[in-house]
Amino acid sequence: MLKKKKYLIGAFILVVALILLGYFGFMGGLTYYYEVSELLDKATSVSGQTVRVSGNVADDVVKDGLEMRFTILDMSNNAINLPVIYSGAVPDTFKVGNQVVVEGKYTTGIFEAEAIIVKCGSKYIPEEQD
Amino acid sequence: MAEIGYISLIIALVASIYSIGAYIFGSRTNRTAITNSASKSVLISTVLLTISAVTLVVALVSHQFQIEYVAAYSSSTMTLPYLISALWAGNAGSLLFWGWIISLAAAAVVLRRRNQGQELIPYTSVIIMAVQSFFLLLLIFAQNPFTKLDFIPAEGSGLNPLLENPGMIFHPPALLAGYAIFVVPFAFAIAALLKRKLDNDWLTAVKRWTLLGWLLLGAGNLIGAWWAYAELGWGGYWGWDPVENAGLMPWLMATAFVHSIMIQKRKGVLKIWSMLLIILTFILIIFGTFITRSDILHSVHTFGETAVSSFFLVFLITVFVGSLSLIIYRRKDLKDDTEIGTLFSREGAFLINNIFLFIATFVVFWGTIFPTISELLSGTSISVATSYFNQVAIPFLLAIVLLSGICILITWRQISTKMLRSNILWSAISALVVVVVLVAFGTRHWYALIVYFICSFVIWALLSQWFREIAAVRRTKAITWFKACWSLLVTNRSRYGGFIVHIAIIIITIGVVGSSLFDVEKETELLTGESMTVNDYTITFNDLIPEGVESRMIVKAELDVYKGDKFIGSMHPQVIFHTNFEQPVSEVAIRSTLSEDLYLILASWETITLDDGSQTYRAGLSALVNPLVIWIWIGGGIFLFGGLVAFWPGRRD
Repeated sequence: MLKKKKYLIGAFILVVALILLGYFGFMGGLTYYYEVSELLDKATSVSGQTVRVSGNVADDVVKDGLEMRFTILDMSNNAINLPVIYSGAVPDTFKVGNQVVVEGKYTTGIFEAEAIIVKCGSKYIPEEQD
Repeated sequence: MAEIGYISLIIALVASIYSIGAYIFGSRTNRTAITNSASKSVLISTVLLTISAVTLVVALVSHQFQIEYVAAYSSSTMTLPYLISALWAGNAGSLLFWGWIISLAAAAVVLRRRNQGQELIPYTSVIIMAVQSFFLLLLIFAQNPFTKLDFIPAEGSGLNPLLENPGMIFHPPALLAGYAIFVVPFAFAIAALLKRKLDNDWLTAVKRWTLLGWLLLGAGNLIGAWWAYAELGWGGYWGWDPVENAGLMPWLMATAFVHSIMIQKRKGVLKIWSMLLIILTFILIIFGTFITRSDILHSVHTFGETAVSSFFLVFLITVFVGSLSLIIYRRKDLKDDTEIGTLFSREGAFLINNIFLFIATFVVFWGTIFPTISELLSGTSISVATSYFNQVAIPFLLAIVLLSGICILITWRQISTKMLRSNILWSAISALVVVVVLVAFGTRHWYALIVYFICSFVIWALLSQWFREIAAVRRTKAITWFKACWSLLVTNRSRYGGFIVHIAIIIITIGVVGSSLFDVEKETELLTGESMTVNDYTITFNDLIPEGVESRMIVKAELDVYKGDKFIGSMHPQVIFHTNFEQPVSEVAIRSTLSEDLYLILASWETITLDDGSQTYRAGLSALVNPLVIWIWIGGGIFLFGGLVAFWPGRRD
């Protein structure tokens, strides 16, 4: 009987630990995903937070060595735009006009991207879509 | 030409539907003539689907660009292997390939000569034919690979250059064939539920099918990881992308199923559980296909919104609701023969392992689906960073690895607790020795130390158990070590194949942990002649060489690489511009050794005019040192080998 109790206590501690692990891992991993217009609406509340923003790459890409500056346009309203700065290797599928997802922080009018995730670099869609 | 393929599909659909009806009618009225005609009809559908698939391949190889699919996915400059691989490069072709493999499996089920599960064959074939009909409907009405253009293009668009990699030849077909094969165990399970024959017969019948599907899925995922690493140029091999998860989840679930089969066969327990696992495996396969072919998830490699996604959604819901209600309906027949006595028995340990695999799958599923759920509920999409998967799924997977070692030590026949304790103790002590050595050599990363403790523990447990069994055979039969080892391997393939697979998993784990915890990345800009250092490597930027070859322009960096003071070779990361493809393609340079990979990416370049008027180059380089990566691929090879040993038909079959 005593042995059984020991196992039960052990199992209980394990389960609690696993739930906590899951909960904190999950909460820590949550990243908001916005359109350009949504991000600009919430500019103050998301300042300094890591978020993902998706938009289309405008044609003003400027590369200076590893550093790159470009603008992404809101998918439904081209007039709304967000300047982005990024440093590092750019994915092959990054291209003017393509949809792109940038991950990073928005502070004082510019989005500092830590990663660029390109959508529709699709394996299965080689046709031009513009 | 295109007509042959398309008409074959239509007749195949008719044959499949006929066989469904004839099987049901024939087995209800006990008329063998009718069931036999149903079986023939299955074989006819196999022949027709084969004709259809071959037609598309012939069209691809002979450049019939009037067929839209051929024009979209091939060109006259492609070599034969890539022309054939265009069969699965596009949505329609990959569905045709999938349907074709299902039809081959259906034929194999009909033609089998074994007795186990013979009564289940009619209903099993009904289910397989129903799934096959679904694919045929898709191919005929939504995604016809034989659609013709009203003009004949002079040239096709060709393959996306990113796909020109041996990975393209092996990764998609392995994964698709794995997906397709799982229809058989699923169909047997449903047939067993329908016929109320829930003893071990259906398990015996599906064991090797399950192993085959599981092996193909595993190999497909591994080749995909290798491909991403060698070709995509971001220095990693796994990004927890929804599409990668779609391949991983059914594999994890099937791993649980492979193990629960063993318990049910021997002890008559976990019946509902096994049933649930195989049904969920199949559902996850359809779910994965649904998310890769719809636009509901933000993934790097979706097919884009395609017409088939709504079909898959309906199919998914039908399978889900249908099979779960069947389980509930038959719950009384799924009662276990006995209870699992104690958790410290082999079945107990297997059960815990199974539950962990289930939870790990759920963790991956939750992270994959959450962005969609949050968007539906709150309007804003919240994505889950890879840190979630790494922090939550990895500990479960490690616990599974540890338990697999303990499972090996607990034998089926009751062994004395004292023996077990001493086995566990010795394995733990030797693992501790490994950890102490690692600490002595300077490893201070606690997470890595835990993992390497677990890995050494399991390896030791496996090898010592294997050794004990070989020694016992050698003693009783008085033969040499080598002969004893060989005789064990041939007489119990599934057991020792399993041992080899477990060793492979440990080797892969070591590689994954080494490369993800100890990788070093450095990005710098260098002028011609300048050097950068990363770890003990010195990399000198010698020159930038632009080359024009036929249809492409290559910009190649020439780098001299030194390890310490020793020159170890030149490396050439490059970027290729294809004239008929808009995106540039980066070719990374990788130098692999057993201890680490040096991985170089040419990220940017420009011509600079110096103050004295002379010109020079400036290159942006990204250099990564990834420790132990090669062990993932070595482990992958051993995984395949062990899986084949377990799968290969033994003499008893």
